Amino acid sequence: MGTQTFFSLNGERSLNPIISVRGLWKSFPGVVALRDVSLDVLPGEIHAILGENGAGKSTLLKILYGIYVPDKGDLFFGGRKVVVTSPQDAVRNGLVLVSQVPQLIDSLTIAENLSLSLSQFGYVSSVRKVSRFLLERGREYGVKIDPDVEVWKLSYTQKQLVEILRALLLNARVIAFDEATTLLPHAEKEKLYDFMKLFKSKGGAVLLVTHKIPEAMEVSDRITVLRRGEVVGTVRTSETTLDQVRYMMFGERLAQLNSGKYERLGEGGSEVLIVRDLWVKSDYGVYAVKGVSFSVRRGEILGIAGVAGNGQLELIQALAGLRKSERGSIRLRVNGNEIDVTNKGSTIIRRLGMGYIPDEPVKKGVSLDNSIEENIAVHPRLVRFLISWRKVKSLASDLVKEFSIVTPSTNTKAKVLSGGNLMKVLVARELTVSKIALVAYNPTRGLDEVSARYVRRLIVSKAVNEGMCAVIASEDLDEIMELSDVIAVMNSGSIVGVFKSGVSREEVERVMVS
Amino acid sequence: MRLIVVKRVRTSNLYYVGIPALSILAGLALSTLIFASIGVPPDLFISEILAGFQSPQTLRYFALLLILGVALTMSFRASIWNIGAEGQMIWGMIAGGYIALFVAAQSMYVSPSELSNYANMPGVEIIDASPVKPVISILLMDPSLGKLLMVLFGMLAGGLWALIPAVLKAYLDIDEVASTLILNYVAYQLFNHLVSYNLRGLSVQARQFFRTDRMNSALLFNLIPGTSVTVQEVLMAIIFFVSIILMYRYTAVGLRLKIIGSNPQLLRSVGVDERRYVLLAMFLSGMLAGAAGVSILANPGIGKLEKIANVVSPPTMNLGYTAILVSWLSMLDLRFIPIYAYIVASLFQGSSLLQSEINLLFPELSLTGAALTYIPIGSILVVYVILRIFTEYSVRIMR
Amino acid sequence: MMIGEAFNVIISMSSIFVFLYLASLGNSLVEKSGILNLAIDGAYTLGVALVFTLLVFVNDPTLTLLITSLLIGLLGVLIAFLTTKLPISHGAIGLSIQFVGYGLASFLAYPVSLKVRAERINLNTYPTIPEVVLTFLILSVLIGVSAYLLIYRTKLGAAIRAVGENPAGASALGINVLKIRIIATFLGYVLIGSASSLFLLLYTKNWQEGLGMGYGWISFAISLSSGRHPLVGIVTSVIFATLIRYAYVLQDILIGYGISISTFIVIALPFIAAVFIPLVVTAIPQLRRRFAPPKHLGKIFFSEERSV
Repeated sequence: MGTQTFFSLNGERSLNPIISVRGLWKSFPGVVALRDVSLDVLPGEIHAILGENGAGKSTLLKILYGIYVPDKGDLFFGGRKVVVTSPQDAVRNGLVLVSQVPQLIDSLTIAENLSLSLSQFGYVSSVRKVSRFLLERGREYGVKIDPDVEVWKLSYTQKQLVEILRALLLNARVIAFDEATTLLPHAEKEKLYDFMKLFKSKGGAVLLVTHKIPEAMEVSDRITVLRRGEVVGTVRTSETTLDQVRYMMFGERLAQLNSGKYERLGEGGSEVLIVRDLWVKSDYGVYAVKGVSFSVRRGEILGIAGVAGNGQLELIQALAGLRKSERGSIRLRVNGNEIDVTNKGSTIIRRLGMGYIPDEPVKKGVSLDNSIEENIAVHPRLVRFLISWRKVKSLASDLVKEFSIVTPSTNTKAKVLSGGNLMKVLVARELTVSKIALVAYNPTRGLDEVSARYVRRLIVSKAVNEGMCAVIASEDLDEIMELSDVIAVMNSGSIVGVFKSGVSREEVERVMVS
Repeated sequence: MRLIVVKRVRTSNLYYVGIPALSILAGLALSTLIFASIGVPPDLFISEILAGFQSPQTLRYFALLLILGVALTMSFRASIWNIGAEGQMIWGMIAGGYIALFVAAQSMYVSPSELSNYANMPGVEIIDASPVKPVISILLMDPSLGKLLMVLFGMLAGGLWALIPAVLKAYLDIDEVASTLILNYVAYQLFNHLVSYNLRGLSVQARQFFRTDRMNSALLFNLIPGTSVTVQEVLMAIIFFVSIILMYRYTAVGLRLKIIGSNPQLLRSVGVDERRYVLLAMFLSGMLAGAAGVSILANPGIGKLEKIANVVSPPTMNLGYTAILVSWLSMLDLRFIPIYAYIVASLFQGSSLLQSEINLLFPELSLTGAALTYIPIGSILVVYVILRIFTEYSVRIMR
Repeated sequence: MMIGEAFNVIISMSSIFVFLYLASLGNSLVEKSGILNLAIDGAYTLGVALVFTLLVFVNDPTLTLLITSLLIGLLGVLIAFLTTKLPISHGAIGLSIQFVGYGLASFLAYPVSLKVRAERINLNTYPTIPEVVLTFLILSVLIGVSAYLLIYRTKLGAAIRAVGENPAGASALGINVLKIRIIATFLGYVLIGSASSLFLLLYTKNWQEGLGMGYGWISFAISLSSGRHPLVGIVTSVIFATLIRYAYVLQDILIGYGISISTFIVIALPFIAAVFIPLVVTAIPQLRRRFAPPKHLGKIFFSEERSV
């Protein structure tokens, strides 16, 4: 079966679209992100843009929002052709974006942040005036905020709330959510859906960009599916099924995705990584990890679940030796010896055979200006004082083959590769050097579905076959549920629940938000 | 109509050669205009600059700029802006001078009557034949060993001076441009202090002015006949150039020094203490600059240390800043440094030829050396920095 | 008696304080908008040369002060434009402009200085009388307080800080990053221009080649050590002004203890302090956090970035 087009709105022109996109093309070095994309957003609808990671959803939104400039194609707002070269243009056209990462300035207060968006206040006006204004309008909308609080002190949900308030204050006609619901706990997500429905009932429209099919099915009126930068089709949610949408998203590759549960090592095995009463501070000087203790056995995968910002990142960084532990201990058992590695630095930990997949892999895990070979040779365990490039080259080609990394050669500079392939280089390198343990944060973020599954399978196989233990923190609860033998939920810096694999998703979520 | 700057889909290699060339031409054109505005005839400007390319003096600047170019490129590749080469050279001169004047040889007073005895004694040289308090210099060791010690200590001193801002950067994240630059000024004054007091010479000239004695000429470097460059300078340039290239290509340390420039956090996350590499990069950089300082001192045309009267014209001839141009034009690629070292050396020599011509032909135009070096260098740099973006970005017009 | 002595001390330090503080204030303003201001010394040296050159032809100190400040302010606008509109390294363009500034300074002022010496021209600088000095002192402090209010109490200030911390976020919030940076650098460089003018008009009163070189960096160090805060900068500038003014007194005191430092060390003292004081401030964790630079300082702001 080829790509069928699923257009259920042929010829219908009941309402004029608020936003129209025709024939958009966008390329980046090495990849075509959008191919001839066209769609409409109608007033009074929740329109979901569905696609797996790398399909082009984010690029499309960024073009609508003026952050990227399309190579070809036209944008129409309210029937008029427009050129959007900055977020201000987009806002002026009535589109406000709420992204997954709150676009607020952490060190400024809510009032200072929002004052920047409210053009009714001149540059010389005092922030105090804005503060008072926000209190009033907030009360009108039923939103409780303290405008003079610095944004870095807010929780993730609160930041999202500020973003939504901002959209309302800017008289948005279309609010776009760029994967903004992925990290919200269930209860908050429902509240957000209620808000969306209220907004559309007033004539506004919602653009919901997501990669989760159930979410799109639950709340949207229409779904546009993107695959590899192309529009596969636009359907009415009420007229389609989950499987049909799934087929639109993945096409023939569906077969590769049915993996189900992974095999396990079973009980037993000695403890390898022992953490006792760990206290770690965040960048802002407050404790992010408060007295965490756990141990991981040989071949065991511990998944750290939780809403982002509850200390998981700081915990992972401390385990990798990259963040100072104020109190407590981290110990590794290697060859029968228990070694205390607390605050000894990352060099020792790496030498003992721990692999590490950092958050922000492009920023911290690879060097864009260097070649794949060099990105592998940078790891001290893979080279000696004098580098034998012959050995590095052969290792690199093996890894490229094994991980299906799309690249012209092993000598290509990393910046040419797409985000997903870069991630694969990083994961390939780290899995190669992980002997006794792997510590990771969002190990498959940004990867397309097939690669993500491959990586997860590999982690499990290393655990099962080589006895590598793993601590994986992920903002994607589905991933945690799939991978882990044991799930620990972190909330506000402490572990508030420990579950064995097989627990229901609802139970885990309940503990995440309590 | 708007101008949009967009990242290129494919980076073009043509620009890697064209951009530096264009920058030089545009920068020179700009300077010609600036100088023409006060009456310097453009054809004189251009002819003197071109004469610089053929002048035998240029070889000397070429060797020095090659060494300095490599020195700066090493630190720039590690994303550390070593603007303190001037100070590191100064310390090289001080350390080299100390060895030359007090360790490898020594000056002392003799009585006037004995002076003639020393005229032909091997290893002894008459520094000051004054009738009142003559001064001789006695070699205390084999001159080759002495020269080697001068270079080694000069390199050490330069490296250590560079470590100060390196530590500030690595452990406290203090901007290294400010600290290296400010330390240049400190170095100049410390130099003056040491020259005027601790290293002050015994001869009449040294007593009268603030300077050291002349070095024992056995310790001077050897000129290549017909030029003003010495054998040792050329040798050092070649040795440093080759060994640094080999280091980058074949050692793990070299690879890490390369990577720390694009992503220090990567080093940290694979378990390499990137702060140590910051220190290493600066130390190596300072060492080479120190070596350059020793070459300046040991050139037969100099052979002594004199108080710096105005920081605008130090004994290092501001080569520490000129070398930035060499390094940047080479796009931080070591293989191109010899080319641009030669070009910049020619420009440098050209501007000093220009200055003497102007003083001769147009005495009413008062142009200082500083203006004649900084304006061309600065113009080329500004044009280069702007044109550089075209290697990775293109400008599009959107209607 | 005590008041009289204190008064004299203040007067003698005021001119030094003024040119240090105003330049550091200008630097703080520029850097708060995220632009790494490495061209400061070049602008400073050029400003000194400019005011000197203008003074010979326009015989009014206040007028030359205003014109120079304005011209240097325009230089700032150029820098803001280049660093924001084009993906240029701040450090690279800053350094390049610094060298051009040095060259232009000698180029412009040297011939004029010869003329001044030949014709024995008397320069109409500000008389160093208490009334004049105090006026500038009070003006500087007032400007500093206004800067503080602007940065921390108004929307414009919030915009400037936002641009320095997170230009992408500021842009998403609706700020025209270029416009804000132009405002901040214009104001900042006007201050730097006025500081360099006063350096000559109020302090050195004459010109020689290279005058001003290094003082831009000292102001940079002051700005750095005070966390780019307008009010803290007053304290730091006082410290440096004391050091410069009383260096020779310090020399005498030390001789009393048997330590003799030469004139050269005295000259080097403010530069040594310019390295040492930021070191001390950064080494103390609480100060380091409070005085931390804007997160996006010196980073290239360019929207077309890859996403993973």
